[in-house]
Amino acid sequence: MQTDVLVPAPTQARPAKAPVAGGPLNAAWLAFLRVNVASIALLHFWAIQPDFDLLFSYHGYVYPDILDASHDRFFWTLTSLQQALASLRLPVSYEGVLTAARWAYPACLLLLGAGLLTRAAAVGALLLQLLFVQSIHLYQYGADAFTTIALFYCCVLPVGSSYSLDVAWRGRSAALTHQGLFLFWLRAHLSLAYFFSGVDKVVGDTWRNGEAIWKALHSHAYFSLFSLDFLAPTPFFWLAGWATILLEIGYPLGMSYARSRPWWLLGLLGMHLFIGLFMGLFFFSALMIVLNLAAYYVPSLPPAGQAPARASEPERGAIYIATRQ
Amino acid sequence: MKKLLYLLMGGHLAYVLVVNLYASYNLWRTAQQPTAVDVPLPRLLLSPPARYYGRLTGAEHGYGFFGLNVRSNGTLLADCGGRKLEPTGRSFETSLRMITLANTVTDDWLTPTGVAPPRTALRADYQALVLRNVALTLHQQAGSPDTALVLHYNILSFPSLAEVRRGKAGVYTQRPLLTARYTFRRHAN
Repeated sequence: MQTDVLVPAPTQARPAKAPVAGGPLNAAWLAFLRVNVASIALLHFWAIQPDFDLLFSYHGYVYPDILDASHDRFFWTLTSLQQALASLRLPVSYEGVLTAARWAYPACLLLLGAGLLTRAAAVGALLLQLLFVQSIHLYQYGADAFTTIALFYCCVLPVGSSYSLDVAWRGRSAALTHQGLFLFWLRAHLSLAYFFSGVDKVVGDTWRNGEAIWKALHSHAYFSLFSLDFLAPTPFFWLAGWATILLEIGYPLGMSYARSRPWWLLGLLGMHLFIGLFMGLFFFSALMIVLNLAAYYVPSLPPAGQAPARASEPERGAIYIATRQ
Repeated sequence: MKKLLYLLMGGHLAYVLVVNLYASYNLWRTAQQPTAVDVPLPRLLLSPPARYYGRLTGAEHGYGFFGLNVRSNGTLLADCGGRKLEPTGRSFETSLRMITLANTVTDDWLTPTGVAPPRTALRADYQALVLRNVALTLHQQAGSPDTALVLHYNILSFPSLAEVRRGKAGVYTQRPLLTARYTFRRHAN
């Protein structure tokens, strides 16, 4: 399955060699990451708008100053930010800070998605996302943590280097000199995340006998496309538990080798689709799918408008990404 | 530039690695001995600059979602003047967050048999304050003339996979864990 260069060098950016994936990379993975992370974060923020006051205002279930009282002070909350501004003799009310942040966050995400003032928009979006999440830290769950991580990568990676308004404005794209290194960074972080997630599961009995997945599916208020109870007499839950453990612990190896990568990626996408469709963790699932596709699928695609070079005879019919590396 | 990038990348990944090594080790110790006390992170990672860095980059998080086991979820339910009230929102996303809130403030009550809850008086007072705030908001939303409100936290229970295989009916039940009674008085301004 080993091939020479299948993908012509991108015209807009210098091809880079990734330390992990040996071939030239399609720079569109950076734009893919930027647009999708911004879109998911925007939809996630939109999803809480009907109940925004219940979460953030003094008409909510837990008042902002009570939430703030148990915060560890390693970032601002809306309350502490308002107090800091007040101490500078700026006459800003809590509602004023809340309203400003409520408009500024989606504005930053829209700019980030469009790639206009990309770096500044990414930094703004990260700080505002943290401000919102830290302000309701008792309500925080996994999707929030991964949104922070994804926005951090939008800050440090050159995500505005292609398919962005910044490029259209300048009339040329920036040189991508360390693209392979950036991709390695994202891949290494994902490998650590999945590996430790798998290790933490295999320690407990319930992931090894299927009870954990059964219990997760029957937790209160989790959305499920349809009931999977009819599978109880089958080994489905046992297999699903072990498949989850193996996919996660084996992620660093499975995603590193060209032969196993497409199957591992398909398995992971299936796992996250399952989490989204049967546990209702839509935003978490969507974000993880985007991070995986950005790290392992999009970089291996041929650049837009260019067909991949003809593969040698034994390679025809193979999944394209299997032929890389 | 490249050296700086290597330094940032290496430092970042090392941070993530150490945080997760400690988190997984503590989880493993808890699995072996539920009374085991968590091993704290190295002093360097507990220093304010490292804490700020971890917060700003998301590197502070462990990734043990749903590990070691899946936690039993519960519901907050209130009764005021004969009306059943539930703190929930209009969107599914908010209802997920309400479950997280209820779990966060009741985690200390869910410890293995024989293990003392890791509560300090201050923490217990804070959790009680949060629940009182939820109760007050529910009371205000209800607009009930009744000044009394009872708030329950019930664990939602469903037969295990093994029980269902043995023929037990798959029916949800609620097991009361906490009950708090409040009386609200209107204060004149």
